[in-house]
Amino acid sequence: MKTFISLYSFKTPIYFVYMLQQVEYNPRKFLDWLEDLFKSDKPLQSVMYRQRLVKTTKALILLGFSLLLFVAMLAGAFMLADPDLSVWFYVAYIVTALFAFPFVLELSLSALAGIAWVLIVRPTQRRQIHKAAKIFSEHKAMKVAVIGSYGKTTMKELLATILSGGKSVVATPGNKNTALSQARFAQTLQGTEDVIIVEFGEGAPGDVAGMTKTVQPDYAVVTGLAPNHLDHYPSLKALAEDLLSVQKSKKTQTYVTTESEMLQKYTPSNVKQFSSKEVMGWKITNVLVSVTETSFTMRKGKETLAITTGLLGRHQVAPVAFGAALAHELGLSRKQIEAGCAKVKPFEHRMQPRNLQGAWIIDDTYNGNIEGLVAGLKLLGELDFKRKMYVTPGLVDQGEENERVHTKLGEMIAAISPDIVVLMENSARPIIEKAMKKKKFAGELRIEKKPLEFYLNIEHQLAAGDFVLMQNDWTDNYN
Amino acid sequence: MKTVAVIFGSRSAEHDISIITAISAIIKPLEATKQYKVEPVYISKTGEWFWDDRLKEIALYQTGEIQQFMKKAPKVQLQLDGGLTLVKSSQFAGRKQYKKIDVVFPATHGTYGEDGALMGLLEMANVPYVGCDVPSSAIAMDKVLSRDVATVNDIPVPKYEYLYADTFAQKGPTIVKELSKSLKFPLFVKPASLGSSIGISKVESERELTNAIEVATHYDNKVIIEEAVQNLVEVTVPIIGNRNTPLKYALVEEPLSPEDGVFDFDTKYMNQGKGEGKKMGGSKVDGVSSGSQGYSRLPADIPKSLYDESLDVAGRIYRSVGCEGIARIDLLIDKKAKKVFFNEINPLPGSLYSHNWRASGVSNVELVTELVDLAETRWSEKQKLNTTFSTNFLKQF
Repeated sequence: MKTFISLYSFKTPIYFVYMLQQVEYNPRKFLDWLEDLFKSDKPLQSVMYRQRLVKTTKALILLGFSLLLFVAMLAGAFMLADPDLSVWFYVAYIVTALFAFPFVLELSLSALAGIAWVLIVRPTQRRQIHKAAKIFSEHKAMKVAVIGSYGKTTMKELLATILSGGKSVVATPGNKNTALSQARFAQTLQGTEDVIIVEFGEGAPGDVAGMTKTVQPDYAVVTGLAPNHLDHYPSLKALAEDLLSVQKSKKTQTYVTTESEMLQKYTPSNVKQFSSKEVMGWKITNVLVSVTETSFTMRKGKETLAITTGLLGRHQVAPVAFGAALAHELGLSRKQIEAGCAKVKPFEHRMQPRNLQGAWIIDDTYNGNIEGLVAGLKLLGELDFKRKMYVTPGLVDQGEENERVHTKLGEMIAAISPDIVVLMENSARPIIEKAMKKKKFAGELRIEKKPLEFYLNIEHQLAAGDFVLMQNDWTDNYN
Repeated sequence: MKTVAVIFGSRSAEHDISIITAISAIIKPLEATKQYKVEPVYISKTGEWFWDDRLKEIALYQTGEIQQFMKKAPKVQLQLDGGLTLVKSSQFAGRKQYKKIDVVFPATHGTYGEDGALMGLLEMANVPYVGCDVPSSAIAMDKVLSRDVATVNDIPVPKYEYLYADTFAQKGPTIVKELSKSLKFPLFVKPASLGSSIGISKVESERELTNAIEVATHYDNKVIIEEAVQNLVEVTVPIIGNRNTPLKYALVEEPLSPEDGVFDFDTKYMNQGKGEGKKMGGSKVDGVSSGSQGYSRLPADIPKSLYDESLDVAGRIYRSVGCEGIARIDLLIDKKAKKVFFNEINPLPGSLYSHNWRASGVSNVELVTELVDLAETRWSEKQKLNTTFSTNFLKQF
């Protein structure tokens, strides 16, 4: 009912166009989002809780279209002008038009976006991807694909940082990991690069296989599997198969992490694997974890690498070690590798430490999968602090795995037993809380009804000796 | 849920700093406790009182919208009904809104607030309030009186003299000559009752002294002139506690003074992250942190003996003046002579010096909660005192 009532606002066209913008004008995703909104009975304005519409040409055209549609629907009454018709007919017409407007607008915008998608967007994209495949195939650089449900951006950035110590390296920017963004990236290549690192995103079955065909990577690294995007993949197995499809490419040397419990189940035995104990024949020992860095030693034959990195937690050992081992394969010296690893710092909102007059806040709010959450919790358990606080709203987009994932999270929280746990009031909270109680969590549990207010004011709760881990933050799409 | 009124702004040169203290260091942490309903009470630069939830928004002041707000909003009346009740027009059919206040948290700096004036009003209302009481606030805010108290309690202070503006206007040249003889240059000239280093000058000669006194008398009728401490390290010690409770000390903090040795208003409040600070980079480099009052070293880089002596001197002056709730004690150290001098007391430190308390292991939430508790304890104890005395004087009259 709340969603329904909220449709009758002057700002409805702005909300609709904002939603279209967020889903890259994909009409299907737009309609799915609206359906989810009706199911959760949240007001339409909640979609723009924190962000605003970016006034692009496309957005302005759609807003203009919305205005024209509104005027046209009302003008219909005058077009029907007939002296024989009662005034009540016009009143009824206008009321009906006003009532129907949001629904007509929703369908019209979807149709408009759909037509543009079929006639313009899709053919253009196909041409761009075909052109990119040609660019990648003719480029002499070593191409490295980074694939996985999580840990992709971290792996891509750390590879770029380490390999830059001795090679000319480029990588796909930010979290641009769709086929189209790869195609645009290909057009920016100079032809003189030594290494090209490409992040592969997974959105629907066949995505990774398609990207493998376009990029034709020499190396591929698969970082993990989590039940994300299960609204587009029929099952976790289908998702795993898509991620691992890269290993079918004969040109590609594929390395799969053993640290992802879920991924292990689906990894074929003939695929090369790496872990926090061994990578490409390098043995890893002396792992030390602190709130500002992680260090370990790598040994292979007579060679030794003493690695220190700004990435936090034992779960970062395997990816950094993979980067160091790959750098060694590509001919970088010990000095270059060690210096490169030392340069790797936490990325924004990913296990990023912040010191506040002696209190430590670990910002892991871009962590959106259960394995990442568990890794962070292990770090929280491992470090020694006067008072430990754990903050999370839980995870979104978990499909059928929702109950299992949040139960696991609750159990893990109880096992680590921070002094204070802060959960946000949402659909995941009761599941996490139930699992915590079942495992006899003895600390203080706080439930926050206003997450944004809590995050903005968390510094007031902290003092020297405190350690706070903030994991995951639900995006506006799911508010 | 208890209602806490946070009073801020006021007719003071430190009006704007008070807004920051109130919103960032008091209102937000009080609300974060979820134990208190916070009522913001803003006193304009011309002394009008306003009470409205919108006054909690910093943007209201930053954008200048406060001027429009004040034109439309009803002014507050105070009802002293055996306590304190805020009253204002609801602007609907002549109805009035009332809000009974359980505790007042003054967040005013300088004149008409930190100097005891506001505390006098709150004493009359018989409402618990946070911080120093009337006499301790008045003494703390008067640099001459606080030095007098220190002197009689054997707490070292730099050699000082003082004068009034009208005396200086009449016999300026003679006074300057006398001061030049009785005190040794370099000297500091300060308005006696202003905080935030407003109107302070460091002088090296008679001519500069005349100018400096003229500047200081623009801000205050009473001016103090004192000898500068040599081999100077300035430190400050935030303290909380009541007369009958043990004192809690934050870290001894070392504000990093600019090269001219004068820590003026701009350096303290306007240059965070600029100038000197820029060289130091982010919020904490090698123990240097940017606190509410610019850049400082936390804890101070001084030998342990001086560190301990600083805490001792700070605690003694806090007790001697009769401070309660919270105060910050500023000290001057002659590093070569290894001597700690009392400089001044801030009965309401800017932003409560919450950055230092946090570094000392006390969060903002814990700090404001403890201060409210101390206020209520003091008030409860005061209620046990007899304030009446039966006589037959009136009958005999």
